Amino acid sequence: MKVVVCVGSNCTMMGADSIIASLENLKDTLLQKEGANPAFTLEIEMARCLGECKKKNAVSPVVIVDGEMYRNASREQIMSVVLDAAYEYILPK
Amino acid sequence: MKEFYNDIINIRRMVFSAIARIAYNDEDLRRLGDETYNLIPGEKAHYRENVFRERAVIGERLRLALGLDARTAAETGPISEGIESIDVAARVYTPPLVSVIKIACEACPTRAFLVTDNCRKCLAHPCKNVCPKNAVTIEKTQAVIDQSKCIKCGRCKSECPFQAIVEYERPCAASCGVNAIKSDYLGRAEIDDDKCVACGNCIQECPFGAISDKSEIYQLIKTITGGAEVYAIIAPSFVGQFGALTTPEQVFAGIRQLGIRDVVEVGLGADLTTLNEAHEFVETVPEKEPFMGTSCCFSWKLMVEKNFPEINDYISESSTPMVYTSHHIKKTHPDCKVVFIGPCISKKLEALQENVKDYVDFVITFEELMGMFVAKGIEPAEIEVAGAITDASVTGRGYAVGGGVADAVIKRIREIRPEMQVKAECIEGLAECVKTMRLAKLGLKNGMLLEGMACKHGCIGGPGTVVAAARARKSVAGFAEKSPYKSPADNQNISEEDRPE
Repeated sequence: MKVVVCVGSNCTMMGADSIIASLENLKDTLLQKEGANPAFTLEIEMARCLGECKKKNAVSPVVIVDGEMYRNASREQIMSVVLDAAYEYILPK
Repeated sequence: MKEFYNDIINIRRMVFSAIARIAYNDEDLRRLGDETYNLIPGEKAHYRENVFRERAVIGERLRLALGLDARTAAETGPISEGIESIDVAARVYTPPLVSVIKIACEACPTRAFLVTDNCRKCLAHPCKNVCPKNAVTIEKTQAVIDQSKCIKCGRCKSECPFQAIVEYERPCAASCGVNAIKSDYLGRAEIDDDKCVACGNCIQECPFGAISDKSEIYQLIKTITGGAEVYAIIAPSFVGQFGALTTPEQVFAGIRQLGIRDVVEVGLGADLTTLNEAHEFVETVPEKEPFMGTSCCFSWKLMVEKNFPEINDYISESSTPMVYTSHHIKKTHPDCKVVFIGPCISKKLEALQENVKDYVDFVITFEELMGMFVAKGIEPAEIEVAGAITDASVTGRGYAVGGGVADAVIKRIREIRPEMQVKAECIEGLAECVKTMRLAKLGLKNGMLLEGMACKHGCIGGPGTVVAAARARKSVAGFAEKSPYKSPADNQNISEEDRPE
């Protein structure tokens, strides 16, 4: 799974850094635990301003998870998307 | 930075960028009320019980960001009331710096021992047995502490086998290292200005976002757009604060795009502080003074001055990096204005001091600068820059992190007096600083160099930072290594006349 976090000015101001920190923390802890799909990889990429905030107000922070864009992304939302994907092969839905 | 308080942090920052936008666009301040609707649109509440209170609180935040005092509900008139007094292109800042936004404060109960659901109403009930005031009774379902009798000794808590008794303190008071949080007649927090040293801890810790400092971004921007020659000096902790992909050189370029002539690292002044403090230490300790405290953290300095007047003389007389750096610029540009940009709010107070006010014209935080970048649509990470910043030495840049100041001074002492063995202690957090100074007063720190930092982690943990301290630490270290000057003595930017001796 690839997560792209916009680290432009607006997104940094609105907490992009805390989303990156949470994802890095997930990578170091939960994703190593039993139950996570061993084939699952998490790639965290930081991107320069994606331009979303210039098109419309109040959309930061912006995060793209496997091509799907999340505006006004929150750390709990992104973490849950990642975790769902990491655990889906093991845990019954 | 309290990094998990997302909503509170975001509201604060949106206010800064709104004020910066208003200032740059020369919008009419009498229309400030409109801004509360821009920031809190619609009719559904997101943060508090209703949208009206949300707007009222953000209105007070806007006023504080303009430099006005916080008002109570009794005083809350038109939002633009008194606005003419701050609509100027010069510093208008007056204490108090840190205040409680009374209409946002939830009047949390003060310190108490409380019985939780963990109570099993056990047969042994040691809580009742150890209470020296008979404040504990065993009621129908659990033990109950009579708060009017309780003297808060905590014995019930330590004896309970179920960890059913908690010691509770409201977050603002718990975070204050100098007991400056009192209650007003409605039980709301009130800051005792005689005790407060403006460290900003309570601002970060209040879970209702009810405490704020004042900003001077508006007046700074009016000074810039008015055509004044403004220089910025930026604290060593700036690295990594303005976007994970932004280099230090791009931060400087971004600041210049704001209309500021040029930027200098405060690390340059830190080098002068190192040279002077090392010199001062070998001259005075232990013959003339028993120990020496560092001088760069203003809250620490103020705490010692207020609480330990008898040992206040043992704090270094060297100026702070902010003052040396500003002096460095004003020597060649006597008519310019200097803005200090840092992680710290107590620098706003330091800048009002008699011996500092002519050097530093404005103080803003990294968060406030970020608001200015956003207001102007500046993306520092996208600016093409050439060359590297070379204002400061490795150890001058290290001032950003707790322990960095003592490290720099000790290394310098080794250079000038290799035979001298000096022990240093680095203290982070205001409450710890107070404890250490109590010991120092008793003579238990004699011969030592004491580095006091009001913020945990040092400056990278300051209330005006944008990113978490752990990430900032890495960025600061990486930038420090790139300095061409290993020692502050090698710093080519410091003229001979400014060096001690």
